[in-house]
Amino acid sequence: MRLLRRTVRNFIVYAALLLFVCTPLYYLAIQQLFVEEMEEELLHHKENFEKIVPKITTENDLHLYESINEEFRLKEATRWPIADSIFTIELYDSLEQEVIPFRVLRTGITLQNRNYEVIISESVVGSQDLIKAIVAIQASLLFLLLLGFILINRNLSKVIWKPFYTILEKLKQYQIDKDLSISLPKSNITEFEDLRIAIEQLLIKNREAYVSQKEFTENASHELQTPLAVFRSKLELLMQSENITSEQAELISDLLTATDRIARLNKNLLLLSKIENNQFPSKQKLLISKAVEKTIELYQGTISERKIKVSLSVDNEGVVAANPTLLEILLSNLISNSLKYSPEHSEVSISIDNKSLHLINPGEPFKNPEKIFQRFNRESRVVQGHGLGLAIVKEICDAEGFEIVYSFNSAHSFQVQF
Amino acid sequence: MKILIIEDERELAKSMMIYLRQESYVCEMAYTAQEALEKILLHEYDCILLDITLPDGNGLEILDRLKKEDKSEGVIIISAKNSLDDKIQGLNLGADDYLAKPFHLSEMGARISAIIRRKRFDGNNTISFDDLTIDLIGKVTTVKNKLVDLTRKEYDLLLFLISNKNRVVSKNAIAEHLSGDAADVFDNFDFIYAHMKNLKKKLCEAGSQDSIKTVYGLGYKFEA
Repeated sequence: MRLLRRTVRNFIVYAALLLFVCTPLYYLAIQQLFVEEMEEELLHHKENFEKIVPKITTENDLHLYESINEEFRLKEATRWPIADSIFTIELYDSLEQEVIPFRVLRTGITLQNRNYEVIISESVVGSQDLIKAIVAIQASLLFLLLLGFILINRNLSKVIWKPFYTILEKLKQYQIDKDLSISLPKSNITEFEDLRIAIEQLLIKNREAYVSQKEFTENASHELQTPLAVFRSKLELLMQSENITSEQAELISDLLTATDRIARLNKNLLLLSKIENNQFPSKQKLLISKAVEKTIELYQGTISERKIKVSLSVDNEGVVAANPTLLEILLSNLISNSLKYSPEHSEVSISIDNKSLHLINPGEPFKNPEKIFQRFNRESRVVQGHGLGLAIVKEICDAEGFEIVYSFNSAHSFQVQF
Repeated sequence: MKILIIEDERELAKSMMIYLRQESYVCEMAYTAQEALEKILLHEYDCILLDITLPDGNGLEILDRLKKEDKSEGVIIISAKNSLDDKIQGLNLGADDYLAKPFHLSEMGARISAIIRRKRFDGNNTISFDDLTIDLIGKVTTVKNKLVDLTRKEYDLLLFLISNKNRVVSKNAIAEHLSGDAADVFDNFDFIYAHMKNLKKKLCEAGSQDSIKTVYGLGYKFEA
């Protein structure tokens, strides 16, 4: 959920609650006020009447008063005494010609030794309409206020949060291996300015760490080459000694083989860091099939020794712009890998179609197919390798903008889209 | 044959010298660019092994100087960088070959003898041992004037052993020499045994004496 929506959602929930809870409360409060007001009025009528009572001498006077004061009703009391009471009843209103609620004060008076029941009534309808109108106006005011608040808040937020979203967008596009630096927009809001400075410093430090790590690999590999050369040369000199026993010969031979592996590993690490450092920038237009044929030729010894059949089919051949060295390494790693993992007497098929290369070879499925392009991820310790072959393939694809897809469907399949 | 080794890593330079002396080359050493320049200007060499990274300068400057002085020494660049730029730049500046550290001494031996053979080319570029003759231009091997039909790998193998004659050449060095980068695929020397068996068989059938000795557990040696 976006931050803006989250904050606005809270406002809306609060506003709705306020609207729904407060409107009835408000209505009840207003109504209570009106009822009290009305009761006061009824009592006031009663007081007025009581002031007039001493002046009324005949029954006619009484009926005259009754006819003048519309809210005033008089009838002979059926019971006595009558206590003052106020209540609401539904009465027929001749004016409105319908039954409407009235607020009524019932009391009793004694005139010329006769007991009367007095009913003073006041229509509630008018006041109820008023209450409704007031509440409606109040509610719509509240609604408009909240709506305005939300809209203003949303727009304001959009403006205020703009630097944040710009920073976010730039960070998404940032690639530590490609972008040397990043320029983030300045903001006059302290928090965003702090964020910008913090991010820029973080990126600078990250970049430094990244560069020094890359340089470290390259430098370490370089520095290892000379002592390795010394070591290997001493072994070769030792080999020239007279009277070497077979045990000694075996030791020397094992040392030489281990040295070869270190040398190869080191060479490949160096290659990886060189690809990462873009030290193969020049590109040439190359025919894929030519390069593939050259690579197959290179491995002819292995192919005939392992009795593997390599079939190459070329369809609608395309030209690829790539660094020749990198393309050569890419193909040789892929093809040597397929030869390495295929059983003897099996068939490796390579097909080239327009700008893609498809290599299929039989073999056991990988245990961790998602990790095959990672460094030092070796599927099998039985087959000798340095665990960098496919990592180099992936690095070359990234550097040259190729796409490589691996899948397994009864056989290993590598597809490179140039 | 005089060889100048320009290499600041003394232990490596020493190994190279000892190995080359066994082939009765005369070796001189220079550990700095300054020393190297002095020696180059004073003496003539058949081959110079030149490390590019020297404590007091870049080896490529020495190469440049050699060209300016119109020296005709064969130069093999040695570099720990194994970088294409160094290689191309070095070859453009007139170096004859390029050797990346860590190299096999036998590989170095093969490169040196190839350069010296090229420099000493006097019309008939052939190598002869007893009844065995190799024509380097036609890549033809004959025993007692009879043609021996060798495959390319067998020919390369024979030449590699002869270039390091009287020294033990390891299987590892042979594997790398014959297959280059393809040696990466297997730590498996079966293919060398096969090539070696065929080579010895062909030479033997042609009536050559068996000069290639198997040094048990280590490799092979061409005795002459």
